[in-house]
Amino acid sequence: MTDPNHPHAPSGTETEGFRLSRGTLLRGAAGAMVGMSPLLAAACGGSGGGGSGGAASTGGSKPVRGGTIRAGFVGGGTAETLNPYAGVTPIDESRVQNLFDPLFVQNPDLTTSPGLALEMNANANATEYEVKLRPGVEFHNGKTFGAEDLIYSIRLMAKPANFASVPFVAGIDLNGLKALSPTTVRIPLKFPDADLGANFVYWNTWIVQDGETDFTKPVGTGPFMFDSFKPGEQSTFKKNPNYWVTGKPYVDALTIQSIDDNTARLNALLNGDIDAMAQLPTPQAKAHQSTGDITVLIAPSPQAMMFYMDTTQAPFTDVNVRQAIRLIADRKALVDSAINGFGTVGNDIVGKGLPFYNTDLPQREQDIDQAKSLLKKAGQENLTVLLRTSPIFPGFVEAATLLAEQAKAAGVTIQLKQVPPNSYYNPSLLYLKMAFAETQWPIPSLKFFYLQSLSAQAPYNETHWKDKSWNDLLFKAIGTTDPTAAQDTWNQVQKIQWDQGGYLNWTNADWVDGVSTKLKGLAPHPGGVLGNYLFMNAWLTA
Amino acid sequence: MRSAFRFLRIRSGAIGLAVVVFVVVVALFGRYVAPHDPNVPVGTPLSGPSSAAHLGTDFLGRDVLSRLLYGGRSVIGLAAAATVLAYAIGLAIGLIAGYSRSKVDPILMRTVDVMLAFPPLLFLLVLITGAGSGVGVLIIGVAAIQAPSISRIVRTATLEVTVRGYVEAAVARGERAAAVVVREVLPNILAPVLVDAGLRFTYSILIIASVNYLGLGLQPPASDWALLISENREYIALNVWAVLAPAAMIALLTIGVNLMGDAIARSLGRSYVPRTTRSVPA
Amino acid sequence: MTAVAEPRRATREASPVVAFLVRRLIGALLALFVASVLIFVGTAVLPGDAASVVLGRGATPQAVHTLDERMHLDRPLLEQYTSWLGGFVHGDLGDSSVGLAQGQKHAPVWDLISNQVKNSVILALVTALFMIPLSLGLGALAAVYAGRAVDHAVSIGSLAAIALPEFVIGSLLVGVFFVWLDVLPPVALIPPGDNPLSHPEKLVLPVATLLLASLAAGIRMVRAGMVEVLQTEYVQTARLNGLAERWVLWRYAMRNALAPSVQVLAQNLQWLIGGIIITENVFAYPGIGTTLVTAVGNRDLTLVQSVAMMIAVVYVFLNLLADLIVMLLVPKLREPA
Repeated sequence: MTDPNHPHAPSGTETEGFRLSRGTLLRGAAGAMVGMSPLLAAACGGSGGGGSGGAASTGGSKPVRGGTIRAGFVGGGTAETLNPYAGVTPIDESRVQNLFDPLFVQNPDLTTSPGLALEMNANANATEYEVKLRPGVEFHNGKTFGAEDLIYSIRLMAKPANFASVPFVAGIDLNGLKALSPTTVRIPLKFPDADLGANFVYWNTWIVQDGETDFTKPVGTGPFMFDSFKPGEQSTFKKNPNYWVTGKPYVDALTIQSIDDNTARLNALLNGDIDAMAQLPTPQAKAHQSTGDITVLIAPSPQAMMFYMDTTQAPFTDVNVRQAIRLIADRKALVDSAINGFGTVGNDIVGKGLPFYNTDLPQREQDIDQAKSLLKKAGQENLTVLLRTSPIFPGFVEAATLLAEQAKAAGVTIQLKQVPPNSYYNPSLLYLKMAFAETQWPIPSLKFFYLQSLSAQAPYNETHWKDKSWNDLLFKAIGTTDPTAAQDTWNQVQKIQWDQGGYLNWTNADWVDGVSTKLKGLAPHPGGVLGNYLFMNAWLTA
Repeated sequence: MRSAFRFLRIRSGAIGLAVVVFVVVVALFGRYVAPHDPNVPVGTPLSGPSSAAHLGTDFLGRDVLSRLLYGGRSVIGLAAAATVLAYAIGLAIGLIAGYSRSKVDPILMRTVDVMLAFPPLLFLLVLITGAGSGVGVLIIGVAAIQAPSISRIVRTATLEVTVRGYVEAAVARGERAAAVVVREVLPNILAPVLVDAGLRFTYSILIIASVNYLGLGLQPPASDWALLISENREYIALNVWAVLAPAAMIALLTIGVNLMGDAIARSLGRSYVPRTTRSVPA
Repeated sequence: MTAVAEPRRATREASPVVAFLVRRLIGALLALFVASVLIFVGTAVLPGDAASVVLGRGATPQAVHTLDERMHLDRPLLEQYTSWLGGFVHGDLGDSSVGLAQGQKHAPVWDLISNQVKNSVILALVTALFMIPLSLGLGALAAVYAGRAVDHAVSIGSLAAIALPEFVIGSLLVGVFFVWLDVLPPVALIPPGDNPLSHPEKLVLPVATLLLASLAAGIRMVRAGMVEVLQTEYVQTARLNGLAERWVLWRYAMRNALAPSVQVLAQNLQWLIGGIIITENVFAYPGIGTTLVTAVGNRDLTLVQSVAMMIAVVYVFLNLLADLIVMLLVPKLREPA
């Protein structure tokens, strides 16, 4: 059943790109959405990494049916999972986003369109929502999608073991969940939220079937159906012939391959063993942009790469020290050297280009003199600190090394300690205990980040920020339905973080991937790698 | 041992020594002639040789040549310490086991078997994951990996020698075990041991480099040849010198040490022709 | 070695060897038992566990504890050890710790690794097939022409190769044979379930890498042993007696040089297993090497323990074989001490 409102509905010319969705834009009762994000407007103008990125992967050719797309990702060994509510890594995300569907789909311009949900309407004070579901959608096993599936999914998301999804449904009052009809669900909340729909965009909240328990043979509504899965090696999927977006996917099958070594993954792409590779190392990306043997896919995104300081551990308890560190960073140099220019300079508050981002704040620049005087004021001249880093994300170790070098000019000695990836984000080992470290956050919305990292109940409070009045301000911003008032409150929330917080956001990094010249249809998307895993839009030419 | 320096008369030995001296001099004193600070970026990452950076830049834009000149001390020191420790343990075990041929032998050798049974890289992985990646851990870990195989080779060579006539003659003369071992056995096993020693040192360096490849081991921003190789490995196609230069230094060291070892073995062999009495192999 | 009382020649040759075998077998089993304890303890003391890896950022000590309880990952160490070893001896490698932590009822380790083990074994065997004759042949060649050009070429060539880490050799080979000449594939992605031998072109570079990285040791040991023996009196006597060079070579020199060489070759085969970990990673070859590295990182303890134990079994029996061959080659060792 074709839905002309779906942004991926077949149209005359398949030129994807940075256009506004023709679909109805829905964000709860608040309605109106800002238009094209300034972040992407800038990218359209051709800044950033250069030439062959952008929409070049389509080139206006017509879709061809058939074939198998093979995509290579860094693997996770036996920890790879098909459970959307417990998945963490891009390879997990690639499988989930092709097996299942979200309530709301994220567009390339960071707006959303109806997915499995057509509308989400709030009551007057945004404490209760009514969701209207899309009718006529079938699961891979033929059952029709309905209210019971959504309710079951939400309950599953709230289970503590599904740590990835819990934060998104923490505000939902599970006892009040009710199916008002086969396609309508009432969702009551514990606190007012002006935009509940935004919680159901990120892949950790996509919808599973009522009764799904162990995900050994997962059933979803997505464009591809489960075929086989060998953790740490590969998984295969067949096209869903009854997908609710008629005409898609174009290809017959999808293979997701685990290839840990970056060079091996790139070689596999160059040799034609795979058609797409996620996370192309930035120096290679730069080199291959000019050779033309592969297409380098560059997607500007709000993805935040940051240093952070624990506000409860000395010497970072003193806001002067924190601000001094923020002033030491030469952000442009970091972007140019650590990630080879594939990103935009960050300004310590996350979410550039997203709704409610504070555009009034000036861009923080390196100021060694001011940093020195702040350190003197704090009695911390010739400060020595330990910075823990890890190769877990490309650019982490590079940025840490460079920051250590930059800090010397201000008399600060930063000692580096490289830690294996698995302990870095493990709360039983190092995570949330380090005084000075790095982190990466995808930012689907400001609310997402602030709730998960800085609010009073934040599960990932890296900077150990605790401020009651600020917390109240945050929840006020989340619950304000009037957009102007909301923007004003959000600006205050962000200004406080900009003046006093523990994050040093040095870049909003691009997603940088490599795609075979034979693979068309994958367009840069700020939501995730490889065009946000939208393999259903892609096809293989000869 | 005056005769030890006889190896210099063999041409390959002299060449080996010269090469080793060259590498050691670079490692010890290179930093005083380095054109740049090894930690400061001097250009775009991974650019090729230029007037500012004669061997190009590494993945962070730092001068490869300068990092090369700074990077010899730690890797040679680390590998040397580990190898020496490995030999101390391995020689002791191997000599005792091979000479005594009593109950001690099987006990020692089975222990060695157990240690050999643990895959070396896996052992290091687990060790570093558990004990953290410090220099001490690396040295002990590498020595622990090498010692068992050294002891096996020493034991075999010892066995070979103890069945020879002159050893049996010495025993028959009433000399004590320790004296026999030091005077008759040790010099005669030097040949295969020395051949092995040259490679052992290289293995130590290689193990360290492999551990770095797997993401553990030495810390940035250290300039260390083994670390240089692994941190620039992905970009071999972009600036091959970032990897090839430190690898070439390690290769030169290996070749030099081994040429020396060979020459020493040959010169020793000539002056220690076994004084056989009645041993004719079956 | 206990003295054999009866003087009959026929059994004097046989029984010391048999006695040796029996003793060594018992020793091997003992060694494996001790190894199993070491392996188990070594991995069990690693900080963090499978539950915390699976829980990722949500792995607060409370959450980990809860998951451990539910998945029975917190039984006393001794109980875990005995049930693991008991199963292993019967061919049951246990359930993957990570799989259990993810909520699966059964996650047999063997199912997860059988493919990879098969692939790695094939890679190792193909390499060994080339390595043994190449080591012996090139080592003998270098020894016979000791001091001359051929010797130097072989020695320095193999030295240079071994001085480079496997991943550098692998990358250089890829640079030459794929980037420049485009005649061989740069990765060895074998589809799961396929026999690697049916994709021989994909095996060429990984095998070449492993060979180049390990040949030098074998060549040099063979060479050293042979050179030494070639100088000894009995060989020279044999030569003086006019016996054909080749006969002298094979009969005396080879046999006596083989003893330490066999040790080195066995050791090389063991080293192969370490080299395989790196090489498989470089070429994305679906073997046990890649699995092991991620398994350690994932704290999939049961998987690591079972695989380590399997490798230990292979090691110990390779050693046994090597010692047996040495014994057969050096008759004097068969006599009582």
